[in-house]
Amino acid sequence: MMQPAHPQLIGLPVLETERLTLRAPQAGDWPAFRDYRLSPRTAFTGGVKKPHEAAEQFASFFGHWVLRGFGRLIAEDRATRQPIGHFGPMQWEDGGDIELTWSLWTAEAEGRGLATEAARAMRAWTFDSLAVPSAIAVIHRDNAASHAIARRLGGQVIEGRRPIWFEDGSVYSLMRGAA
Amino acid sequence: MTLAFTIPTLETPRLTLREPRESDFPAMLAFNDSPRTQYLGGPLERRWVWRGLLANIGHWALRGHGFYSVDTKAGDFIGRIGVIFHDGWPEPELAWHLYDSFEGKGYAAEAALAAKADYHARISPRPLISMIDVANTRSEALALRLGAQRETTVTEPDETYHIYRHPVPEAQP
Repeated sequence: MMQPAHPQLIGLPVLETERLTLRAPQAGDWPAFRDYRLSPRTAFTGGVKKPHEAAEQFASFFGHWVLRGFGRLIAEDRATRQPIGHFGPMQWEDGGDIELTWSLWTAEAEGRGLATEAARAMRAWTFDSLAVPSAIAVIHRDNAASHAIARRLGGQVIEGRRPIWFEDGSVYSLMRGAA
Repeated sequence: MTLAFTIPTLETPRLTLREPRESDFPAMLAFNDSPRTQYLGGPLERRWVWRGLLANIGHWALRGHGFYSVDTKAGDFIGRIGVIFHDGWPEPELAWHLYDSFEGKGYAAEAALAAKADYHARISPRPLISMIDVANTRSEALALRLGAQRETTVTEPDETYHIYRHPVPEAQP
């Protein structure tokens, strides 16, 4: 039986931070991503999904890299070698604003500044790599931890602009070089 | 920033099965917005159609097989056909979406047989299923034409569908 060669994506960056390695998504990340996606942690990013819907989202990370040349990286805790979340720029089909995204997959990974550490590296890589003056972040009203990250990354709320996906939340602007 | 392997290109007498591309998106969207997706859980919002295209490419990355985009030799993009097995799916499924105005020519059967043969040659000899909404009689007719046999009918809260089982490679006509 033929299986695809590993890794399944080539040419992706590897970002090293103090405690984390951000690297290409790979098939072995799926169980941890599935557990995250089916947990209540996704209340602010679309809610609990059926397994095959979670699988489709996971697979879409790979397709985004292929079509756009950028996308989500998986942050791996170098101490435990475990994947702890996904971080990366994304863009919808309309070619609009590039959106910076960050998600920690487990509660155990919270409270140590890991998400901010990964998000800073991802932000720097995005502006180093993509010729855009700014990006956005889209955050649910009640997602306090995520609002805090957006501010630490230098994000400014765009007054009057609302997320497309949910009824109440904020859209931040993050300017190149302004972190 | 690309796949670590090449998605195959399959040639049949009238068709070419090739990798999904961003330029496939408008036709995918038009299909999604047509009544044809009533048996496929659609129509979906535009962004989920886009994510479906990304996920198809990712499916190739993760499984080594997936939906092919199908062109005529004249270059018309006529639909998407292949073997899909996202986690959470019962088994690998031979599936087909054929776009308006390209039906009734035997294209779907021609492409489906090619995709099926490719799957068995490269991935696994295990027989494939197709899940077909009980009201989707045209799709059911295609399954029968491909030699599949109805195995069971599944009723879920929001849909009822047949599971058809395709013949194993050795048993193909």
